[in-house]
Amino acid sequence: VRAHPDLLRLVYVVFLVCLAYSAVLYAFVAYLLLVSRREAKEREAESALEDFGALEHSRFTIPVSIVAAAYNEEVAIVPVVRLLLAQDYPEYEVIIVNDGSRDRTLELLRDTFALEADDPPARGDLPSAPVRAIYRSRRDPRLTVIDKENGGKADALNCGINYARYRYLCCVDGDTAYFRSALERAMRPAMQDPESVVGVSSLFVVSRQPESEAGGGTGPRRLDAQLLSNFQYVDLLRSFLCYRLAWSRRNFMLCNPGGFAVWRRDAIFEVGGFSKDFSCEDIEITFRVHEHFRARKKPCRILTLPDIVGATEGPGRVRDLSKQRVRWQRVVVETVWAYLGLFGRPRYGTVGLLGMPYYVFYEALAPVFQVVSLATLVLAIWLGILQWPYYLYLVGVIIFATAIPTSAAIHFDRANLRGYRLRDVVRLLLLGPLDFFLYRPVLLWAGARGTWGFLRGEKAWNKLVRNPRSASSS
Amino acid sequence: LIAIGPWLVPLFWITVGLWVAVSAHTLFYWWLAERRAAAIALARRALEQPGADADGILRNLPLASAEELAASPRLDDTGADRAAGWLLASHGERVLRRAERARPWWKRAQALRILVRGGHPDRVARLEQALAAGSPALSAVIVALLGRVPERRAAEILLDALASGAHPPSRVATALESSPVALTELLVPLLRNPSPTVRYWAACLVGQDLPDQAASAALADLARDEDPRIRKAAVRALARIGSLRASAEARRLLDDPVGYVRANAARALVASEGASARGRIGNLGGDPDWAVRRALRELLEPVGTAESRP
Repeated sequence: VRAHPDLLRLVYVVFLVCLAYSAVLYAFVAYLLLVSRREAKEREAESALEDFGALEHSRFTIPVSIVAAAYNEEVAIVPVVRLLLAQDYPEYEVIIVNDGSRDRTLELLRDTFALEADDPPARGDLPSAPVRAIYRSRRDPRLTVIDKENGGKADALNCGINYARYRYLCCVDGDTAYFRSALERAMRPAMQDPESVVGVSSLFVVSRQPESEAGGGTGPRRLDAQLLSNFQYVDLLRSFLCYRLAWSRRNFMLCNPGGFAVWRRDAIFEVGGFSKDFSCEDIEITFRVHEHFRARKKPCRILTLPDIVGATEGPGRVRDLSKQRVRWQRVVVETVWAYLGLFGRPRYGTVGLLGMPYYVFYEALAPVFQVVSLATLVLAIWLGILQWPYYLYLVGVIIFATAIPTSAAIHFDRANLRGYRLRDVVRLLLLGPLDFFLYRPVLLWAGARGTWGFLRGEKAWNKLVRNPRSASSS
Repeated sequence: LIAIGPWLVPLFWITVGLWVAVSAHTLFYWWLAERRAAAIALARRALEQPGADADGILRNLPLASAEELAASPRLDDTGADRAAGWLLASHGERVLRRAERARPWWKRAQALRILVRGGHPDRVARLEQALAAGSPALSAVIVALLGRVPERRAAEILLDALASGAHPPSRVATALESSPVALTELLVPLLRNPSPTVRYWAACLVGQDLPDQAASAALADLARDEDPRIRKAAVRALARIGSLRASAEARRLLDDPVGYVRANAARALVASEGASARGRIGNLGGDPDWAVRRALRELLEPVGTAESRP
C-alpha cells in the first residue's frame, strides 16, 4: 500500500507516544515495587512481633461493628456469617443487611441463627431505603439482621452503619469467607494510631471454595485446578502487594476495597456515607474521605496490609470475569471523572500529586492507550511498515516487564505461601509471562467496554452467579 | 521501530534476565523460608518439652533463627525463657548491642524481647530508653513488653505513658491489664488526675488486684464526675473490686440522666447484690432508652422473670 506521508508521520508519532507512556508506566511500577518491598518487610516484622494472644483476651481492644450487605446470597450466607461470628477478637458485633433479597437469604438466617424481632434505635441518619424489620439472634446476641427494601450495596451499608454501635466499622461482603484472624490483623494499625488511621484494608485471595480456604486444613496446600482462578489469584496478589502497599506507605491509598474495608465510623458520617450515584461504592468513598480530610488538614491515613484476611469466589468463566472487570473499569472512570479536581493539587498531598495522576493515566486512560496501540499496529501492518523482528522483540519486552511484578508479588507473599508445594510456586511464577496471552486480553477488552459503558452512562451491577458450596461448608 | 530497533534486542534480553533473576530470587527465598520455618518449628516443639536442653537445640540453629524463635510471641513462656536465657548466656553482648541501636527497628525489638524474656537485670532501663526514642511500631512492642515485666518501675513507665498521652491509651491499658505488678496503689493518684481521659482509663484499670480503701473512695467520687463515660467506668470498677460502696453508687446512678450510665449501673448492681437486685432494676422496664431495656433484658433473661421482655 502506498501511504500518504502524513499518515506515516501520524503512525510514527502515535507509536512514540504509546512507547513513552509505557516507559513512564514501567518506571513508576519499578518505584512502587521498591516501596512495596520495604512496606511488606516492615508489616511482616510487625505481625511476627505482635502478641495477638494478649490482644484476643484484652478488655481494651477497640470494639468493631462488622457490616455486611447481602443480596440473594442463599448459597454462601450461612457459612459466611458463621465465620464472621468466629473471629478471634474480644468485642465486636455482626450486622447483616438483607437488601431485599428475592431468594431464601433471610429465611436461612432466621432458621439457622434463631432470629427474633428487635427494636434497636438508629444511631445515625445516613440515607437508605426503608427498613422492614430488625432481628437479633437468640443463639448469638452479637448478630443483628436488618431486613430492608432493595436499594443497592451502598444503600445497604448505609443502613447497617446507622445501627452500628462501635467506633470502627468493618464493611465486608456477604459472599466472602473471612479468616478468624481477620479483625485482629486489620485492627492493629488502628489500635496503634486511632487518631489518624481512618481506613484499613488487607489482602484477600480468590478461591473456588472460599469457606474451605478460610477454614484452613491440614497437609500441603494446593493451587486451584482452574487456570482462570489462579490468574485472578496472582492478579489480586499483584494489586495488593506490588501497588497498594506502596500507595499505603506513601499515603495515597485510593481504594479501600468493599470486600474488606475497616473504616472509622465518624469519618463515614462526616462524608455523608456511601454514595448510590456510582457503579460501585468502595473507590468513590475512599476518594471522598481523602478529599474531605485533606482539604480540612485533618490527619488521614488509609492503609493496606499484606496479611490474608479472607477468600472470595472469583468469576469461574471468562464471560463473568469480563462482566466484573467492565464494572470495575466503569467505576474507576466515574470516580476519576468526579474527583478530577484533586489532580496535581499540592493541597491534597500525595493523593493529588501521585495518586490522581496514576489513576488518570494508568487506570482510567489505559484502555484508550491500549486500543490506540492496537489500531496503530493494525495500520502499520496494513501499510506494510511494521518491522516484524523488532516488533516481536518489543512484545517480548512488554511480556517480561509485565511478568516481573507477578514474580515480585509472589516474593512479597512468601509468608502466606508456606505449605505450598514447589511445583505450585513454579506454576504461579510461570503465570507471569502467560498472563500477556491468556489474561490481559480479557482485561483489555473489559477495560475498553467499561470505558465505553461510562461514556454511555451505564450503571448495571452484573451480580456474579455463585458456585454451589459443598455440604460440609454450609 | 527502525529508529529504536537496535535498542530493543538488548532491552529484551535485559528484561528476560530481570524476570529470571526476580523469579529465581523468589523461588530461592521461598525454599529458604520453608526450611527456616521448618527448623524453627522443630526447635520450638523441642524447647516446649519438659526438661528440654536449650543448648543442644539452639546450637544447631543459625543465630538469626535462634533470635527469631526466642523473640516470637508464638513460643510458650517456658520455651521462651529457655531460648532467651541461652542467647543471653552465649551471645549476651550481641543482644545488648542490638537492643541499644540495631536497625531496622524490628531487630532492636527482637533483642529487647530477648532481654525481657531472659530476665536481664537492665531490661527496664533499656526499654525505657528505647521507648523515648523509638518509632511508633517499636513503641508498640515496647509497651507490650513493659506489661510483662514484674517490676514496679515498668508499671510506672506505662502509667506515665498513659498520663502523658504519648502512646495510644488502649494499647497501654492492654499492657497494664496483663501486668503482674499490683496496680491499684499506683492508679489511685490517676483517679484524681485533671485530665478526664486519664481518669477514665484509670477507672477502667483499677481492680486488677486486691480492693483498696483509697481506690474505693476515689471511685465513689468519680461516680459523680461530670463526664458520663467516667461515671460508667467508675460504677463498673466499684462492682469489679467488690467495694462496699458499689451498691449505693449503682442505686444512685440508676436515675442518671444518661442511658448507658443507667444500663451499667444496673449491671453493677446485679454484680454486687446478685438476684436480690432484680426487684430494684425491674423498674427500668419502661426506660425510654433502648440500651437500658437491652441491659435489663440481658440481666433478667437467665432467671426467666416476667420482666425479661420489657
